[in-house]
Amino acid sequence: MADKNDKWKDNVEGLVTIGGKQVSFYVDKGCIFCALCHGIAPTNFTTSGDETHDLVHKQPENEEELGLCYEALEECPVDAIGDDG
Amino acid sequence: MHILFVENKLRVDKLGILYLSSVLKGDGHTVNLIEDSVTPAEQYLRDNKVDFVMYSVMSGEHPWYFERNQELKKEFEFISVFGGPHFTLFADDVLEDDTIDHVVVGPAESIINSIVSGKISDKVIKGSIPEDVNTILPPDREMLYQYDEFGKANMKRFIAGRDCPMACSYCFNHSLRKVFKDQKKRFYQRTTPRRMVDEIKDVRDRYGLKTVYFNDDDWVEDHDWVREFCRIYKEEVSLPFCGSVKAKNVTEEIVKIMADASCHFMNVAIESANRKTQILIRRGWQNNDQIAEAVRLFESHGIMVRTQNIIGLPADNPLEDALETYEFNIKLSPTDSWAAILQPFYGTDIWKVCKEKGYIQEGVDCKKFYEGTPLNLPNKREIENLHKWWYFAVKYKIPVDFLKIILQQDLSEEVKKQIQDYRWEITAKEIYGLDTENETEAKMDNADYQVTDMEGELLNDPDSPWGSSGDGGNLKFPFPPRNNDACGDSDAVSPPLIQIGRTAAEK
Repeated sequence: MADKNDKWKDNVEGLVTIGGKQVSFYVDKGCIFCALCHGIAPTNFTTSGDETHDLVHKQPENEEELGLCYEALEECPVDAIGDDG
Repeated sequence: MHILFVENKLRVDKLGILYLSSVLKGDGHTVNLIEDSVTPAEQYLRDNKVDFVMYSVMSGEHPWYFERNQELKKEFEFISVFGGPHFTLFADDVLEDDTIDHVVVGPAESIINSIVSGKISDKVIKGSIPEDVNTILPPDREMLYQYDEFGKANMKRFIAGRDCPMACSYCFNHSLRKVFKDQKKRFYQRTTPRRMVDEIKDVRDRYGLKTVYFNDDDWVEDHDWVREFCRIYKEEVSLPFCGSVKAKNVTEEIVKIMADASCHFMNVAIESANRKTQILIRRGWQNNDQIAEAVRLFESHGIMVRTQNIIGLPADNPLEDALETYEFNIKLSPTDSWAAILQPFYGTDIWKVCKEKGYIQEGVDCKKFYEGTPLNLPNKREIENLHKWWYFAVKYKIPVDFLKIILQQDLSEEVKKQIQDYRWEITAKEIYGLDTENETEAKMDNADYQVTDMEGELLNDPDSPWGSSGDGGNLKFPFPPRNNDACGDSDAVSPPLIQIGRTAAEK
């Protein structure tokens, strides 16, 4: 499970409410930089500037993006994505 | 029950079906394997009352298996079961084929006996990632080693673990994980070092063994495992072994331990040396410095390295990307260097990238990965020629400017084959230690699988826009898969939804 106390500092912050659910996605330092999240939800995940990890560069804005973010969270092979940031 | 696995042509130890055979035999069933290109399945089916015919299928060769099964079903009564990587993505392919009774998606160890006993009657059956690979019986090698090219081979294959955590966009792995995301916790398991050594010793004692080849994607992923395995292996086996590693996981300590335990050769994948391309294909998790250090460490400790590369990638400038990778290989100066041409299988994320960039069109054929590119790439001819020259160009460090001149010259099919055969002669001896004049397995090319038609002739399609190949021709890969109506310009490049238990009648 992702650890919000160990998240990368370059994740974009922000708490959003979509469909009554409050979320704040982030990538923690367990990330192995497989970039799968980036492939699933490119609007929300991207490569870090130093090219060493993935990160959240935009919190989801709608149900569709929320769904893709959760898909990325579920498929992260090392559970490095959290929604409770 | 009597179960027959039918293979077109046996290439390497196909461990998947050997594991299944162990599970089936453990339940008291009779299991056998036929290499159809050598001994037509009809002969076996006439001589034996076979209840199940099973096929393990990779994409690209699947048309042959469908057609073969249909042919056999005309004459014989049996239950057909299909499995293998192709159906991780394309289980829907079989829904309208009444000659296919079952297709298993994913690993089948946990359900194969239930299929054979009739407890599962669904057409599409989702397998299961094993809860603990250490409870699975070792592969049934007796079934394969009845064939001398495998049984008498001095090099035999093993696998220490399952699955890879990475998501390289050209690999089916990320698609497999999508299908089994509810079983994510079971991925990335390893056989214990003790069990692994015991399996190797058993093979050595029963069948003969001189070199151990590990099929794992990253043999050094778990350093604790490596330390323990090498400790036991050195004491009890100490035969040369080889495999593949991810450069980022290579340390000097681990290399020394491996060298001391008789490791003599490792594959190190580069794929592309261009940083932007590395990130594009989702391999940004390792960089060129890590690759260079891994190669240096191995070679300096007496462990030969083969670098693995992919050219024909959907980079901004595919030829320049390939040449940058080529120059990096010269700089590394590995013992061996090999390049494949990207084959963007439908259903992988790189297929989507190729389509977005306009490099791919519907109905394209996918060739074997050492044939040519199915993509409409700029400088396609030079890329395909570079692929043929790669090994020797790297070995003799041909300067890039001169190489570019050479790449303008097309090669005849005969010359291409001669180059490939000559390369195999060198690397078989140098890397694998094979006596190519006497070893039966020396006839096998690791990069080759040949698909034959119903008369046993190699498939060759002179009408293909990519021409024919002297080594087996083009493999038809239908774009889109037959039953996926959402293909084409839609975004439906993800694997089709697999509806467990859905039959053709229900669709």
